[in-house]
Amino acid sequence: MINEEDIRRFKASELDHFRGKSIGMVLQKSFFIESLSVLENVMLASWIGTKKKEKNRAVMILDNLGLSTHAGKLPSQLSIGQQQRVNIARALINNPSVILADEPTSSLDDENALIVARLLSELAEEYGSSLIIVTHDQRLKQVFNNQISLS
Amino acid sequence: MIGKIAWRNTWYKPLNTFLSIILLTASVSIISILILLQKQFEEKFSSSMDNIDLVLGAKGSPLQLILSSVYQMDAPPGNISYEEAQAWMHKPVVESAVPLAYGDNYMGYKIVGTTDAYLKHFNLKLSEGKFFSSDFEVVVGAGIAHNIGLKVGDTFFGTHGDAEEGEVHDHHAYKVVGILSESDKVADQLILGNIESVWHMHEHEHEHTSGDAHEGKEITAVLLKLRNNMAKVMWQRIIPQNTEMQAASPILEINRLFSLFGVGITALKYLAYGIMLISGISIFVALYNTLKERKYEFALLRITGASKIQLLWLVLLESIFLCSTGFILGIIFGRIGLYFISISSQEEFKMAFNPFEFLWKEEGGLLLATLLVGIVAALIPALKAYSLNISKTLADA
Repeated sequence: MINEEDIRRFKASELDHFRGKSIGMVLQKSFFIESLSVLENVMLASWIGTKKKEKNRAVMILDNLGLSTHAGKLPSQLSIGQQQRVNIARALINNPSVILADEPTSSLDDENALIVARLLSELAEEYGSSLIIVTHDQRLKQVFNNQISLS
Repeated sequence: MIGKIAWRNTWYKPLNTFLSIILLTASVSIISILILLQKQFEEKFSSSMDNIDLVLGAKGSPLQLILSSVYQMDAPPGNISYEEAQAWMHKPVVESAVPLAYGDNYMGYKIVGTTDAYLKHFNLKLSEGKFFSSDFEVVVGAGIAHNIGLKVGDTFFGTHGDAEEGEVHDHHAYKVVGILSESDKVADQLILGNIESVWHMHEHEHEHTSGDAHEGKEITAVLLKLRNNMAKVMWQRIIPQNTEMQAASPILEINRLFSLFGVGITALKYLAYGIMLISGISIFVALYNTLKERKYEFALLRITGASKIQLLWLVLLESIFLCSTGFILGIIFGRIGLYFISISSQEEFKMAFNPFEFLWKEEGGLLLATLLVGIVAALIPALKAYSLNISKTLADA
């Protein structure tokens, strides 16, 4: 149950729509449409999810993540840490109810891992989203309070 | 937006796209040149042919007679006696008869001796000056006036035969008295005078060379329009049986010529469609090869909420963009090619083609064929993208 809707009853196309609108995902590795710029990659998520091109919001979020000077570049021109931040921007653009993050920091060094973790928690709070992170990363334990350990 | 991604992807790796586009461009331009050539060629031939039922000329190849007399493209098979020809020209069944006498040229343009029947027969109008009335007066076709800048009042010497470099008849000069308005027929490329001018020009020469001045007045051919369909068929048989002449039907001969051309053009078209098939295969290979590296891109699109259909559409669109680009370039290069063909055929055969004509039916069909190739080539890669398993793809990443 998400937003009081039973997602198990959705058809495939409804699931696609729901996923685009209400769930933001940050993955272990960053994937992009390589031929589109950073800004366009972020806007693309808003277009697919809600049929609206939220350019202002995309610029604002990138700015918030310290990426405003990179908005016009191709994703491949960015460092890994910057790419992961673009992923976060993309996950946030539609103001999702839930953000799912799968090992978001595993490919990052200590400094970047902490930046990403802090950004995730701050932004989730700021935009009112629930944040679920799956990770092995010990470094994250200091940042987040609610933990479920699976053995 | 899907369209935008497809468009960007098409140009993101230009080398992959390059081969497919080159092949498509080549095949489309070849086919469009052939379509235009064939159509305009037949149009030119048919428009000059109208109103001519039979051509009277020396015995020999009937096709040669037609080409030389109606289209001014070949050497005439020989001469005929004007007296003998006149016997047929004045028969009641003849609606109009246009005698033609060749002899000279000026800068490669034929000087044709004829009567004012020629002007009436082809419905030619003057743009300036007057029709020829006495010896050595000529009217020139619009194309010549434009190309070599002859004006009313100019004089020039003819060159013997139909080759540009030959013996110059410098005893008599021709005088331009009129310019014809453009007719889109062979007359645009002709210099017309009376028959006597042609005879006098050569009598003079004969006196000098052999002294044998009067061997009977000869002309080259007569264009006939008949009132009676029976006569059209009958004369083709009767005339060669009873005289030293033949009567050839332009429609028959030109159809024969077209069917000869047709074989070649069909073969070339098959070749071009073959190239198109290869370009289809190259699009398929290019799309299929990049599927592996692009599956994360597809997975990403699905994660952000794209549906399966949108992925299918993305791959199809990329192929369609390629094909449209190839088609547009092909049409442009085809036009450029035809322009150069037109220049050389104008020099050699006095025949120009219009590269700016667009044949909606034929070239529209060509566009559909190109798009079909693109869609078929993209179908399997598109279905693969459609059925991509996202969770498995991401787990393997």
